[in-house]
Amino acid sequence: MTTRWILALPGALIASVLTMATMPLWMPQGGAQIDHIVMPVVLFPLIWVVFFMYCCMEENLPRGSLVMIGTIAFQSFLIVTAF
Amino acid sequence: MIAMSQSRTKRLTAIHGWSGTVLGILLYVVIVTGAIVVFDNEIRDWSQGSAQVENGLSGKVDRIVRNAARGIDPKFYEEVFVRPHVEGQMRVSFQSHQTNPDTGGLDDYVILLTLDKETGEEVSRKEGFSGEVFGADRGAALSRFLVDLHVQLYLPEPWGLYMTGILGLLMMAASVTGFLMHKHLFRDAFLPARPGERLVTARDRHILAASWSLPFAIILAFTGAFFSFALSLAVPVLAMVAFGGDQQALVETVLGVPDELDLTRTSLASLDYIIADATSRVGGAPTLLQIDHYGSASAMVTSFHSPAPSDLTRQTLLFDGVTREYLGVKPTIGLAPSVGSSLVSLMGPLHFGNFAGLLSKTVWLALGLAMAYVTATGMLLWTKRREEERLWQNFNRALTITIWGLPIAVLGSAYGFFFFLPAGDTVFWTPVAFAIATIVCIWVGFGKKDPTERYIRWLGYMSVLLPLFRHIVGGLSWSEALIQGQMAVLTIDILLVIGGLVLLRPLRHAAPLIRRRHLEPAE
Repeated sequence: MTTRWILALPGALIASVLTMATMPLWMPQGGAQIDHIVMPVVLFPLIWVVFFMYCCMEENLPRGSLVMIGTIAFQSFLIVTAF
Repeated sequence: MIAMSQSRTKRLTAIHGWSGTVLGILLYVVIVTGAIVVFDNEIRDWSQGSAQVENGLSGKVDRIVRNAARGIDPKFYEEVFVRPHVEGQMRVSFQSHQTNPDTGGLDDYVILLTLDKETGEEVSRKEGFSGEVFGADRGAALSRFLVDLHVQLYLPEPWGLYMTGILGLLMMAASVTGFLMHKHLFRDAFLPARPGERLVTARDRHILAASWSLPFAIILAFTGAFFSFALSLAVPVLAMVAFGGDQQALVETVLGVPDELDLTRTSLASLDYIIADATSRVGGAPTLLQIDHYGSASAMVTSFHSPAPSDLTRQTLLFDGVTREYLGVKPTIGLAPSVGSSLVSLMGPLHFGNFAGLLSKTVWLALGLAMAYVTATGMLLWTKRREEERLWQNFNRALTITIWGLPIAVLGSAYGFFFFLPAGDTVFWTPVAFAIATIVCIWVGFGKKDPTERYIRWLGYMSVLLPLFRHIVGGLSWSEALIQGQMAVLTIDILLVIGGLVLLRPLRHAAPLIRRRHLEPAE
């Protein structure tokens, strides 16, 4: 139970902030050249809900932990290589 | 209806309850103040008791702005805003981006002039960073305080924004889990509560109100979290990743600042011509005029207009500031239309409910109050099921104090505002009056066995007497308000009296929430 709450609260928040941060690296810029900056800001609450609900609903907790840790690690890697 | 295993349903029920209860009291404060500040402009008009702010720019704007600009250092020509003010006046602000020594961050240094619309004579002048200039408006202190309470719980930046952002996310969690665990959403939306004063009756009422306000709750939680996190969290994070930490570069990219500016001194095109052109294109006068790089070869004029009757978002037109040529509709952000700009422009109308005038605002107020009811009854149901435990008994008392104490404290802040409006510092005393009323409510709440009835009486008397108090300390009378077309004064006064009289009825006729202490478990 503790693992699930750690994943759903700090885990989902960290994963959603990192996802928002990496979106400019792969998202199309659009006609006005701003979508890659604006869309992550707009979508941030929805991204958090997706991670949060996934952590709450996943029946297989080890798999859920793996997905969240993998997501956080991959996004962190993308940010580090972007600098 | 979504089929789920028993363990998932149990987990969702726990998340739904805990997400509403943890920080639920603060969520209630944000929701109630949010419902109130839907009528922010009307509260400002009512409280400052002066003539109504005009709807659009008219008259000899060009001559007055040019005359005013002659007395201003050109370094403040970076951005010039022209907006209507009370009858016979207009406001012109000259601004430049400067580093604020108090915060260390980039801020707008503003010279705000209030001018006579006919003669151009200076009525008043304020100068300083934007927070000092616009925050020191004595007449708007009440509405500004209520907005601050809603936006950041009156906490310092950025912590208040983080807090309300987290509350928005929690509200989304409670709404989404409520939707998923709701087995008969559409049926329940039309089912009346079972009779009696049992726990199950209270739960039926909670579900009924929740079913109707669920889509609205998701929209408000989403847009609220967006507004809280956009500047406080997203901009610094994205600037770090995409712009090497340069927030100004990010803002300029998003807002669409031209790459090269020609600051050669050039005469500005006629603002009167641009206003007339914009008015004929949109069908209404601009509510705001923005002039970027006033008096230079790169000058641009943007006119902002209220939304058209069939439109959700406000209309913004762009003109060349030298040739007065119409350049097209300006997106909310960026220099060209984009998906991101369209989505951002929808956030405001969806959150503030201001897209169809008083009608949409009234709907937003009603749904906001329904959400406050859902939050309060949800927390009461949660504590009722755990009433044997001392912790939850105390939480229940804190809940009662908040549910009734918050509207009392809001009215207390209005009394404080009106008391000091004639000759005092309303910016200081409005929050102080709120704090004093809060302390009194907490004192009474923890001192007496059940303070509910006393709170209701206070709320009733304070509501009924506020219009009279406002008038005694020098506010507009109803006849003056009628003559000046200040309908907000009459409407809010009448609503306060009616609301107060409803609360002062004998309690046997009062709302079920008041009688919640008689609830008996039915399951």
